[in-house]
Amino acid sequence: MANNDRKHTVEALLFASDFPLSIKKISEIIDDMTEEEAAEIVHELQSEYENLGRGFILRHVAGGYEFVTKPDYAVWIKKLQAERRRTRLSHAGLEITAIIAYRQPVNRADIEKIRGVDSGGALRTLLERNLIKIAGREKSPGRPLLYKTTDEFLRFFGVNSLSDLPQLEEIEDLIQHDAKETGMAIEQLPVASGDSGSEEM
Amino acid sequence: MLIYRFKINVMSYQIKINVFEGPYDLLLFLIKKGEIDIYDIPIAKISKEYLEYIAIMQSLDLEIAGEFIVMAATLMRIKVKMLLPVYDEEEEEIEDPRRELVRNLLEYQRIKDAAGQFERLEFRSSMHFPRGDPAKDVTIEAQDDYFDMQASIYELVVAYNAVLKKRIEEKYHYVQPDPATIEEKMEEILRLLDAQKRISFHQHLMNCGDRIIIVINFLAILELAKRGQIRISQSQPFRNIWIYKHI
Repeated sequence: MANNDRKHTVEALLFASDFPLSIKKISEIIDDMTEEEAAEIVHELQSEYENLGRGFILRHVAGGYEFVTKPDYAVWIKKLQAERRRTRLSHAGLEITAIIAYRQPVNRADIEKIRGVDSGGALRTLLERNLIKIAGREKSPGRPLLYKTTDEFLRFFGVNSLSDLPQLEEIEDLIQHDAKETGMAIEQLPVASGDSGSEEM
Repeated sequence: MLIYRFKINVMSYQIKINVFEGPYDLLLFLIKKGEIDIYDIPIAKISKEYLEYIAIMQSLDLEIAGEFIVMAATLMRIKVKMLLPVYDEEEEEIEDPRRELVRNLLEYQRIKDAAGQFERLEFRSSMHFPRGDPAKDVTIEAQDDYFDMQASIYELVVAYNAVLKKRIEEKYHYVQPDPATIEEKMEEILRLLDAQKRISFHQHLMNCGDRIIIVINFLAILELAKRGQIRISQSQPFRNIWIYKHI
């Protein structure tokens, strides 16, 4: 394959994919392509689209790349898809998503403890929208279900990976600082728990 | 005429209320409004305001989640603890009765802030459209036997309740001998399982006649499960529950 041809092949793959395509996947599909070359081509394409000033760009999201329209044209796209509008998440949905994002894997009782209210309905909706998934059961009495975020969650919020989420830690420091002043001991809460005793499915 | 209209304007303005996600949300609102130091909450004052707010919501006929009432009781308990003198010769440090509440409030505050940031991320991302129709809610169409999860008693009861709700309630009640025994239904189910690989829990119960037969069938299923003669599974929560013969 000639050089230009290889670039166009990658471009075609990105166009045809309906989900963010990772560099790894691209290098697997195309013969004799290393991940380095795939990365180089993708970045080249990315800047080309930015510089050419087209109606769309190549966005890095959910560990891969996908073509998306520029925000400037959102109003027209919405007209095109007038009947089928993407519903925004409710406050409850946003809170629960945040809890799961920072504390995964986490069970329902812990989610409800943090929010102070019943969360079953919103949990169901989030599951249906594939923003969260069930990731096994906790090895504790009752064996409650554990929840984690999905790749679609990353895509939905336009984020490449969990580490790109805003840090909770900053607020944590504030807590410690203020606590020392008033002499009230607030326990250090873990920001992101690892897989503590969960069974994989 | 003019005064009348003015009055209506004032009344309609008063009906603007905040919607709170839960008791912590309301408490944080009161703390912020009163410019209260969250590390040194005046419990008596906060409790009073909290109860006033609950009373307003109730008077406006708004549905209040039970958790709001539980929090009211919690605040009362903390208030009492703070009023009682504490004598403890052993420990130097007595735990502040507000401590756990403050910890929970701070944790909720963090999550609420994070949720706000998530909302901004969502909005920004929603201005970008990928190919095709992103508004289509993506649902996983898992084949029902893709992977097996042991259905717990909880899921069974939920499904059973759902079936019962669909039945039309009988307006009268009369005593009569049971139309079938549990043993009979157990045998029937096992026979059915000889003929087909699996039975749908929902379908089987819906096909029953009276409500009493649904109950007998449900009990039969539970007994068979207890004896280990059948296996019950569900590929995902809220999907179909299937009954298999246990070999």
